Amino acid sequence: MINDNKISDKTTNDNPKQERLEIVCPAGTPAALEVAVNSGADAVYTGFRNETNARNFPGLNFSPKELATSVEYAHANDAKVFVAINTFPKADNQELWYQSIDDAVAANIDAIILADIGLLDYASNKHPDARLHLSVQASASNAEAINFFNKTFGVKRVVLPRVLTIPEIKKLNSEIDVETEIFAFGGLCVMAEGRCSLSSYITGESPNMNGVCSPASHVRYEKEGTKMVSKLNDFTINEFEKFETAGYPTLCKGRFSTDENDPTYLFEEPTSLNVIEMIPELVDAGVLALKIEGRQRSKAYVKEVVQNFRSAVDSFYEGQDIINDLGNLAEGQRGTSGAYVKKWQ
Amino acid sequence: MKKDALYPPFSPVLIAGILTQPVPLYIIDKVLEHITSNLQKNHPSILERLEAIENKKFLISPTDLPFSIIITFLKDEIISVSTKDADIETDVRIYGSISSLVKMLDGEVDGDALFFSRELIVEGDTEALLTLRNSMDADDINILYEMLDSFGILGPIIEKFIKPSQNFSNAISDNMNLLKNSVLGTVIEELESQEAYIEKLNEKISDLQKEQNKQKARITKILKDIKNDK
Repeated sequence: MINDNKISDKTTNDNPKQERLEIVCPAGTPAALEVAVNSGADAVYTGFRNETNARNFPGLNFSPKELATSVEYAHANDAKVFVAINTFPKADNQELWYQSIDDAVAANIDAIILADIGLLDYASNKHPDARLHLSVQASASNAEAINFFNKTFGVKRVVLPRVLTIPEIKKLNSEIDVETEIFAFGGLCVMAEGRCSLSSYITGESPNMNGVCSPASHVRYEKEGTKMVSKLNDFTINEFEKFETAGYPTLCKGRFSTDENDPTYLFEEPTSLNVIEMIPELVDAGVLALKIEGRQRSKAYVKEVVQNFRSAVDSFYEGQDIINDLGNLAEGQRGTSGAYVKKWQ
Repeated sequence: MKKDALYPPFSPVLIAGILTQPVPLYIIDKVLEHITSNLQKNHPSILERLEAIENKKFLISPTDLPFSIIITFLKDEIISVSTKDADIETDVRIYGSISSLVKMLDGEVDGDALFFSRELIVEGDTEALLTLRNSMDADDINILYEMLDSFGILGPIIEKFIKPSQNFSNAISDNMNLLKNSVLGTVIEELESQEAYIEKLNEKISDLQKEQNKQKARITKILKDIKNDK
């Protein structure tokens, strides 16, 4: 039986770090969760080993038992655990998603990250004490939408879509009574958050319905001469010369030919979002939490990124310079400020 | 892809690999057998995660060693054997220096970062590869420890020999870099100069393409205006 009283109240209590910018880190495995906690994460987000979360990758994620053990470890070390159940259930097949919400609550997690209105309704009714966060997949980017989720389902925090500038986030924060969490580092999509079906045109599966973008089962790498060719469902989507850095095999990061151009990046170049140098502006804009992308990445990635962000946030509050040393972990080994600093018309 | 199409790093491992060429594969197989048996004993949860890739065959090919390793994941057992045939047909093929491969397995470096920088080359069934990578990363594995553990009471004694030799290896590695720079220094300088020249040419080509596009747009506009005037 689910015991709602087990829900931790850490997110509203006396953690001294709470007053400061919170670092929310990814963990695809229990080992990565421990590394994140040991490296200075304030909170770690995870998912179950099924299609209820947007990183439903082979060999990744947690069983309910592993989650419960990991939550104990995190709480013993003053860190919180959030569980992403942020895909959209198919009609008449909600049971897996309901069960996952119940399992997360039973594991004594600190918040559930949801996107689907039906699941928000289920969670807020069945587990009224559970802290609910609105996933980026819900694509809520204006005050009316966010206030609706807050009033209707008691959502306490929104993960903002990666389409807003820092001044827009500041204005938004003045119009809502909900905490804001923004993406700080990692893979960057060009999609309207929660609305991308590009992957499904070529593979039949997409992030919001199946938890995977460009599923690994459809990806092949082949070496042709000095080039490495990446294929998605037998379509060549990119070719990398020996001197070029590589990126993920997603359709949006493929190179396409037009009448006027040789194959080039028409949607997006392989690059990673990195806001580490914008921490002062983000604090000023009222952002409460920085989310690091990458539940599919390794313990080594988690350790290095979390340590760098921990050091950067601490340096900011101590009035010291922020050091950005994350280039080698970035996709294509390049960073971008994304939409936060808008340089285009 | 053929293994001999890849250039191995100039490292102590490369020299050690050449020197150990005559070592029979059955000795290497014995060590591999111990390591895999220890992995199963010390990390049982890995097998559970590996269920999805049952019967899949992986070729792990260190570019600086004269042999490759074939690993097969059966229901309750991991089987690994060495081979000198690096072109053998398998579901997945992974190429990289032994140092990168071990560091990745030990969770010291990120596999995706190695892939982005092209230090790691993969071919074949990407889903099986990801399952393996994620499963191994889900536990704390230290290959040196697993190897030493397999030697039982001899483990600590061998460790005493290995630790100084790791320092020795680092020292040799530094000296080899010095040697490499001395031999290849002028070639590297020449390549860097050519690279800078190519970059400048690319910039010029890009400027010319932009100019061409502008002129095209201008001509299209003029033709439109002429048509409208008519």
